[in-house]
Amino acid sequence: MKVDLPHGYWNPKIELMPRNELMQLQLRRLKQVIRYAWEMCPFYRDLMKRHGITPGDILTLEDFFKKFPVTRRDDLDKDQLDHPPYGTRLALPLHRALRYHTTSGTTGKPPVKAFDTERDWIWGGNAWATSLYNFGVRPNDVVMIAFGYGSFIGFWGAHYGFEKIGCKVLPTGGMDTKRRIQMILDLGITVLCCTPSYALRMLHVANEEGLELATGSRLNMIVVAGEPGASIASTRDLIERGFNAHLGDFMGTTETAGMTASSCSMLCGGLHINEDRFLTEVVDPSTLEPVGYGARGMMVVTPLVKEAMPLIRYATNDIVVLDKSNVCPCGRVFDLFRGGILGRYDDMVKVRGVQLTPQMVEEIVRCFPEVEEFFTTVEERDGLDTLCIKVELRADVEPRLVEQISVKIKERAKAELGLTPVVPVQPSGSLPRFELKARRFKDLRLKR
Amino acid sequence: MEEKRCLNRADEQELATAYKILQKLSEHDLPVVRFNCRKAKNELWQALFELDLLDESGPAAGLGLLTDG
Repeated sequence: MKVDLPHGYWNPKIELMPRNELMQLQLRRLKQVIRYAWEMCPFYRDLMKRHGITPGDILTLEDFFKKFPVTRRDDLDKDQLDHPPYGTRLALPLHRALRYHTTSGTTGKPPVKAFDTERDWIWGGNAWATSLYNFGVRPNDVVMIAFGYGSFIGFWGAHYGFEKIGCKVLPTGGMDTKRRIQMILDLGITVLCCTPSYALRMLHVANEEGLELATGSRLNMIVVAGEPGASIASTRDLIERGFNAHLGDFMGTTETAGMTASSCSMLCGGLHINEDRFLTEVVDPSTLEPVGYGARGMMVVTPLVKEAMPLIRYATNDIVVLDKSNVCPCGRVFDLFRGGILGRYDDMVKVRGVQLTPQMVEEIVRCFPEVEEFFTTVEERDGLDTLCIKVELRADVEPRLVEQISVKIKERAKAELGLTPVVPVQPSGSLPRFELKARRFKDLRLKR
Repeated sequence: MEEKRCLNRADEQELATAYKILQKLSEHDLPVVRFNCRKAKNELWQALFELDLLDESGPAAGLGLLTDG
């Protein structure tokens, strides 16, 4: 049941301040972060010494962008392998840590382990609360969080963010999809929080069970995070129409343990960056030079307060485009990421000269509501690199239409990607399902 | 009604005072007081941080990053 989202500011003093004052605020906080890391964090003190810099060398944001080296995922992995189990980024003794969590492990690498102090953890929850409030969540909302509540940070921060606002929160870890859907219908849930993949899964199961989420529920907001689905137009459309609710995209990383950017109630298509909490850059992934507004680049992020495990200039591999704040009519000073996370540089593959990301395939496949699930591989067949999109169609699709749909997907891919895939239709229930991050893309050529 | 953007000076002072009270009570012998006040203190710290009241010129100067998590 879609109603207009309420408009308001969590912290108008900061969200409406002039841009030059925001940058001064960022610089003050950044200097504190660097001083703290120098004094308390062996990982960053060693890094700064190796690069011949001290906190006193960083006097402006430009100094920081020019002089301070980036930290990559491989650096964190190596540090934790060399100094198990938590590495040398720990800035405080372990007894000060409140919360342990890990990255999801879906990249195939060992998960990065992270600790937060109580203050870090509340900060992360507050970053979520800010974003949720600015999207339109209010104390009278009834929220379902559809997530397993394991060691992956997932939606833990969202849980505390919703509680901070004063919502009624229903955690549903370990519950099956049918039961979750019934709860939505029975308990007047107004906000659903999950990954985009799981939102689609709920729609499929509801359809199979003959349950009407679009007309039978009080859902007004779908809060998604964890993967780029909401930035893919066809996926977004499917979710919004299927639930008849507003879809909000929320992006963050486990390593920063906070909500970096999110949709506001104006739903302009971009995600406001929480620039009082995070210093973000968009750079060329090879040269690390800033690409400026309007161009694709890699997000580099520095959380502006982290006690337990500082993180400075973290190169995320996320592909983003930066827009100026005035693109959105809300009036916030915060710049935006246009469309959210558009993909990942480390997911990109080349197939017969075409640069391909999983999101590009999803954009095509989700234009066909008959597709229930899909899985893409890049394979070598008869000596040629071949894109193979396995699809599973909904149970109610008439058999005489199956071949037609496969052909249409093939034609659309050819038109939009410049590649003609093979599109074999799979038996019902044969492809993997996902509650958290979906991994629907595999380059099998690497397995030689 | 125009949305209020900032605290006035008196309210800022009250926030800082409340923090200092909670900070003191976070050291109390009684667990019920110590643990609840520690949590409340760290929650209140968020407001001070988000409102940018922790710098040297503000009423909460000296409570900045990590003096007492």
